[in-house]
Amino acid sequence: MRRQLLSFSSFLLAALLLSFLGYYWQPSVFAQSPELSIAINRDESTLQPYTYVTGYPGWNLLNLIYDTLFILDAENQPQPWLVESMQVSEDGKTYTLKLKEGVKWQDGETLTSADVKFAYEFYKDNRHSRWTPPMRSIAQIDTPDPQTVVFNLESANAGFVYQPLADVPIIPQHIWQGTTDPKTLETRVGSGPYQLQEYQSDQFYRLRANPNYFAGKPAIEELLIPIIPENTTIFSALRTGEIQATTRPTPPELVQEFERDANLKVVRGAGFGSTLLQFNSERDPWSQVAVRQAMDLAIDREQLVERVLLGYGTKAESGWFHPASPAHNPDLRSLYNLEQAQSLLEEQGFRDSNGNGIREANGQEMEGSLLVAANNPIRLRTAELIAADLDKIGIRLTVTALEPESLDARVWPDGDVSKGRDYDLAIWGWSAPVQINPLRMISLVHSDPAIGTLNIGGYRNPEADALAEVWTATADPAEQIQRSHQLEALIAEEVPFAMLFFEDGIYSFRPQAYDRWTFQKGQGIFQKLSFLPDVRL
Amino acid sequence: MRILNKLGQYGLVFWLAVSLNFCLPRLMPGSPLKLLVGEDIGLLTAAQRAEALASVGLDQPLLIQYLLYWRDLFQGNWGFSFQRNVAVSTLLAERLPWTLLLGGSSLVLSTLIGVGLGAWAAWQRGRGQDVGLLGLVLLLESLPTFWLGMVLLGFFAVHWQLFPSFGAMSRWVSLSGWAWIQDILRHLALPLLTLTLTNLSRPFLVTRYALLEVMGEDYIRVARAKGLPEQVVLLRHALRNALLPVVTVVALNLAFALAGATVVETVFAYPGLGRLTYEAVLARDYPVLQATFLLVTVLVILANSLADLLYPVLDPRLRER
Repeated sequence: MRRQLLSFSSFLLAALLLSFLGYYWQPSVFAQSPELSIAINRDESTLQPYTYVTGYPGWNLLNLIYDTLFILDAENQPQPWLVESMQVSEDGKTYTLKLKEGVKWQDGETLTSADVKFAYEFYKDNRHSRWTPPMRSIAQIDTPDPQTVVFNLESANAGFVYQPLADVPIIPQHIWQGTTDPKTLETRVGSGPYQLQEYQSDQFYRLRANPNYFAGKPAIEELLIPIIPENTTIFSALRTGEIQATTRPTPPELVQEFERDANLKVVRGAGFGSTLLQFNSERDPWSQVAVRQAMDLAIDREQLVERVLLGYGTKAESGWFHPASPAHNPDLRSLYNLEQAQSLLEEQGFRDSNGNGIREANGQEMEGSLLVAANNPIRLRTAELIAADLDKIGIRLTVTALEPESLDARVWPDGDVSKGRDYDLAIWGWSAPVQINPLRMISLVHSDPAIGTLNIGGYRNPEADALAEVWTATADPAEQIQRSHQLEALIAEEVPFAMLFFEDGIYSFRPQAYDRWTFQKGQGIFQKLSFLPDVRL
Repeated sequence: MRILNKLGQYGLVFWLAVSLNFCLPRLMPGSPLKLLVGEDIGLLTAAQRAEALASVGLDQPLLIQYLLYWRDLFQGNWGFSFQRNVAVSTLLAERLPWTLLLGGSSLVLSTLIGVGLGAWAAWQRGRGQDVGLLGLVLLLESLPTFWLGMVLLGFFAVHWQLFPSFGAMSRWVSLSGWAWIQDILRHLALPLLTLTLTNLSRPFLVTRYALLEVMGEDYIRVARAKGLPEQVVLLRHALRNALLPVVTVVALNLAFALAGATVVETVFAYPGLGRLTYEAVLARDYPVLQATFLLVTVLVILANSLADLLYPVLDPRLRER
């Protein structure tokens, strides 16, 4: 009797097990893939200039299909790409570009100066947050012949080659003309090394090599780009060989294991994605320079790199730039000095008069909340260590973890600094491109929201504004560097934000599948030149 | 009269659900602006931002947006995804089959196994196997779905390489017929296993307790006294009477299967509705959120009304005279 019941339940169990294992106990065929499969972690929509979603890897993916006039090389220097040569007038206001001959769109039409003019004007007229703003500086575009484009600028613009020339994708006039709602335009025609073959939202993109690419046929015939939201799943799939590379940086805790794995190769280089402690300069006591300086001195950055990044990173120096960046002012060093921090606060009269371990500033306890993104384990640990560091000098911070959009809504509502802010301090960071174009340092500190577009702390300093304006109008490269160093020194002195560290760019891939990646300094391996290994710039 | 009453109840629930679906996304901090204008949002002027919001009607007062939403619902217009730039109805049509496959088969499996094991545990009441099983099921219930998925992924996909670690089907090869079905089942295995294990506990516990209660009834004693074989007593007399609460639990479990699918589909990169919802939450994609919430609400209401209708069929005592 009981036996029959037993067999009833074991039948059910066996049915489950069978359905899972029975059929499929065979060597895994799914682990093999004939070409290259590179996982990304979120959907990039229909992957044209008005629909791609992220700055990385979305923009990089977009750039496999479209071309820019200039391209950043492995050292992040702009090099001519669709362009044969360029001449800049003495006053820095006229750029004359000669396009390369014989560049074709993927549908066979020829790419001419008319397309370039059309694209730039289209971006000017059709709002996009990345493409439209750089067009403001252009007064007029002339096309004297099909290979020549002349940009006439309103005023000299030191960053013009970075943005827009090395940033904005050229789109074909014969397809985009007359488009009123660019987001819904279904087009896959670019001039780039790959053509978009197939897209299934939340699943994958399939790209095929463009056999007629002007810079030569790309090294890999077909790219499959699966979309896998979870990091753990991505790196599991890399281990099993279901994918051969990913745009995601390898987490520090996996590096040693991956380096031992004969099927995997790990490459490392400086990463320009920053992590920093952002002050709300409009709120007391963080509005006081001495307080920010003291806090800056009390942070043990070496400990952060060792304990949070397991050594896979670079301690930030004062100012803004990565120490390995050519733009960094070499005189600036970050210090860790608790005594100096304490005495700075003492000098200001910030003492702990009620003996609770927290100093008071003008009768107010020096305490506040430190906001951090809940989905970023590195930043969470950073926040906790910093709170412990600052406790030592009598400043009490409560770490508050928020879901990313909610964090943005407090620190940078609608991505618009003129909308104000509602926080004390936050662990923040800017992506690599903000480091790569040196002039973007201005947007971090300028008090005019239209220029200081990334000034999320509401920092105001007429001296910084004046320096920025002189720098922007400078045409001479040597003088540009000098201005940049001056502004960075001012930032180091005033500490509107305290730079903490730069995570290394750590990327792993399966070298048997493909091993000719180009590591772009500060950015990583997922970019156009990695697929065109024979191109010499 | 009773039917009208029921319909009124469901209508009220539906109205509440739709209104909540409308409010919830808008109550979350943050905005979908980034999706409307692209990533480098800091560079835009205030006028450009306002224009972007106006282009999708987000500049209207909330009440007007709410009324427009109802109008669109009645016209069968589910709107246009901010994030993916396609009609929401297209997205739903794409994703629903995968979620039905995953959620549906998990519902069937977890019910069958849960009821089977529950019956067995009740039969073994108080003995080692009952206690062991009870402990195991309670443990499974308390495990975070996310974590369980990760562990199964580590063993089955990475260590033993029995199943693929992500996706719904192979992308390099084009398969057809039996091979295609096999491929889909193979990709289904790990998400299904995770979801089934986490949803096992409710049918198991309810069956076990209901059966224990019934087993103490007089008519069971009578059946035994008649000398009926034990399996007849259990399966025909006891289990059938104990199944009533199980039907309720199955209807409830549908909601849990869909909710669990959100996590499971994200872990295994499975292209279903749950994943769509998760990404839409992260991106504040209002139209998609409204639509997926609504769809799930409707499915759950349908399942519950089905359970309501089934009661009188299963139990003559509940039939109206």
